[in-house]
Amino acid sequence: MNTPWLAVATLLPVLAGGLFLNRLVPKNTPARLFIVCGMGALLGVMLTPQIMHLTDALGYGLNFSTVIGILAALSIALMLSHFLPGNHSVHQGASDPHTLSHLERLLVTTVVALITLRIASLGFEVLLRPLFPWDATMHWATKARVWFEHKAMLPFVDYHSWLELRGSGVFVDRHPQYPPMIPLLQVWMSLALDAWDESLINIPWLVCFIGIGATFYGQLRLAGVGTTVAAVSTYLLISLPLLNTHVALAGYADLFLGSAYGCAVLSLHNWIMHRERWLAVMAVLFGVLCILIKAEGVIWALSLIPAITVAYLGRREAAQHFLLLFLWGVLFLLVIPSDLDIAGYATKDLVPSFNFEALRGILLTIWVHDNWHLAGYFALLLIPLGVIMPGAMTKKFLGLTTTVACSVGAYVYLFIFTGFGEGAADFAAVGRLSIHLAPGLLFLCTLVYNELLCRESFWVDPDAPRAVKKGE
Amino acid sequence: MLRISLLSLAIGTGLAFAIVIAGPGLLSSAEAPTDLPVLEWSAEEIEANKDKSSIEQGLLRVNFQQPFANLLSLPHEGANTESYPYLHLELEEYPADLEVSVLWGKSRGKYPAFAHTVTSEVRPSQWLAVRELENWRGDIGNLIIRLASKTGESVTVRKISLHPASVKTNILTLWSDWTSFSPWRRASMNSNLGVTKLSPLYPAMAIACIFLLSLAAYAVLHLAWQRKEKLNWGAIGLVFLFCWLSLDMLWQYKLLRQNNVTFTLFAGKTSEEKLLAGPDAELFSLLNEARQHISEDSARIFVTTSDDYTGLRAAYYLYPHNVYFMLRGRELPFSTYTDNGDYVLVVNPSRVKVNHQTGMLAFKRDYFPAEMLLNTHQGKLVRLTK
Repeated sequence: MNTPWLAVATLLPVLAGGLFLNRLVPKNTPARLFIVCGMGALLGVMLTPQIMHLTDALGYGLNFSTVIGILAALSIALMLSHFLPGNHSVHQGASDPHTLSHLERLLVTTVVALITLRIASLGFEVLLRPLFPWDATMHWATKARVWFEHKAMLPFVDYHSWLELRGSGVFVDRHPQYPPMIPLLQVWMSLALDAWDESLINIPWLVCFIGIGATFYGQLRLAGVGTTVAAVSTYLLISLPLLNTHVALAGYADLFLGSAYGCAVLSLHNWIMHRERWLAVMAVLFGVLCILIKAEGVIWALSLIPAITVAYLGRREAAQHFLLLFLWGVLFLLVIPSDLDIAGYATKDLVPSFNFEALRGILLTIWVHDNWHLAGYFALLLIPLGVIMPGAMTKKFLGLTTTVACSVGAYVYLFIFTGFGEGAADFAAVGRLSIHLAPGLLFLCTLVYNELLCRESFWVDPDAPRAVKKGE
Repeated sequence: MLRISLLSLAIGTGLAFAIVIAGPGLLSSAEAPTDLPVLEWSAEEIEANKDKSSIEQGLLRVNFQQPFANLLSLPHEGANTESYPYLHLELEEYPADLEVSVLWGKSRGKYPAFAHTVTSEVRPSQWLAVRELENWRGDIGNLIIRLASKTGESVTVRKISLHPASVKTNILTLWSDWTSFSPWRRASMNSNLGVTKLSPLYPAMAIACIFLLSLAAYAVLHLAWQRKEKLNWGAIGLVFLFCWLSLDMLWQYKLLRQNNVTFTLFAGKTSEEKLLAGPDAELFSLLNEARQHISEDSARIFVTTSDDYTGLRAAYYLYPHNVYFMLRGRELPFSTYTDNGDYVLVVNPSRVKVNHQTGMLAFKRDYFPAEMLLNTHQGKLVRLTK
């Protein structure tokens, strides 16, 4: 086994991403290390396949040395840029002077130990278990296997085209049109090993899992949440059983899409709060990456737009725009051809029709089965509180609430009102799509909980301008 | 804060248990009499094939001499399913891959009409909430325990018993179910039930109920002790965290059990050895043999089978060859699309017929002249010669 190169292939993208974030993130940002390492790891891991795609498109094929060279050059350039005058901006938010009590210290230590144990358990599965899940061998690793062997991104076509072309210069699998990022990640690990290894090709899934955990903690701290609540909430995210399964049985795209969308949503919220440019850059970058991972990513990326609208316009004006947009959407659905493909779904399948079995499937998946532990109940308790709490979800977290509402609305619509309800009725897709929404939803719930903790009174918005009494 | 959180949690848990104890209808049939005796079958009382079993120190040893399952018949004077909602198996020694099934019928003498196979890993003290089985209704005619494992293995049975509903059996069965472990399955990617098919109660719902009861207890305690103080959301958060931890410890326990299975199966093996030890071992062996007959890397290979899983896996393992397998489609394309020199891998079960002498393939009135390259009980590889 080519262990040193495997280590380089795992760590160099993380380093490059981390150095890029280190250049962008202001110096005294809370939990800066977690943001730099977590988002850096995610960015590096997700951009490496894009570099590979680019080198292949330029005619250099899938060459390990070329990509390593580019990543190393980028890292060196980013390291050197540190010494140049330029971005040494300072985070404007208040620092957290709070010291931890004994109970808080005990809690933080406990959750850190549990997170470590979880990462070790899942890492063990990733490193030892050969590729197992269905979709992985249906349309992701099929491409990876061929591209690695031929050191080039040879085209995959549908069954009919393959037969017509008699397989000449083309390959076939169930979904030839799917984005190439996931297979390229597996090719990347194979190029480092110079062999196809059914287990080690999945190391990026573990990196992604650690990355989203660190990012989640860092972004919560940046949003003003204290160390204890942020650490406990990160543990809640890291311990979600279905998310864990997608790491242990690596090979699907959902963990990456969930992480990219989570990063975009979290960055967007903090950008609305702090208006720091790097957060906007991250929100856009991860929003674009959503599209490059999986077809559903288009819908999630679009759900970021309403939050931006809310950030720039007043609530009433934004509501008017949304109403207009909704009407345009309805009109669009009525006039476009029924076989047009939107984010992997044909428009004829998106026409509303209520599906009771799908509703049952969603309820069971979120509140009865152990896919999300008690996260469904956490949301059920906190979201209504956040809505009625003056100035919370309706003002302070309005952008985040809008994005989460749009994505949850799209999720519910897709399963309950369209032909895709079958994926919820038989649990084939409903759980997996929830992974995409889990980080954002948990982030919103944590912010609402933190608001409950910090407020002097539930009914008084601390940020609201106080009425000046006569004579004052 | 910690004190009020723990107290609320203790009251909430206590209330939940009280509901389970006071309302047996929640976990067992309300009409069933509760003063019935336990129906027990000791090693001597269990009827087993004498050629394959023996009694040693009061334990029944069952040997797997052939690739057939062993049946343990449990004679009885007549029992009603509503009266006996729980089955308990006590095993001493057994192989890791032991498969246990419960077979029952409504009339005696005939082969049982209904069967349920335990989907989780078998444990020495195995409780089953048989009342959750769809056809566990009315009087039981015959009751059989089916044991299956590899040839050469053996199982030692201490006792088998049927139990009426009681608080103890309710809790023991629930615990047995919640802590049961099943290795990764294909469906694991889509859903984690957290229980077996026979669970009377889902853990997430049960813990959520404990949380809500603890929340109510906290509200009462707050009104009684801290009426003038602000609601302590930290204490409520702590109660929630404890509830979450109790669920997550079950999940972590199962992950560690899974780690153990993964280590036993795959540790120290190369990528190819792992596949030969994994769930697709037989298929992968067939493909290894088939690969030796495929000379050109650029060869086109058609995989045909009527089983989606087998076909998909076979195709995947054959890449980077130019493989064609149409999932949920026509098993073999029309002969106009095939060429001389193409390979066809027919994996059982398949609707494609192969003439063993000539190697000629037939599928839906379409014929493909071919030469046989490999013929095993799992499948065949032919090269088209048209």
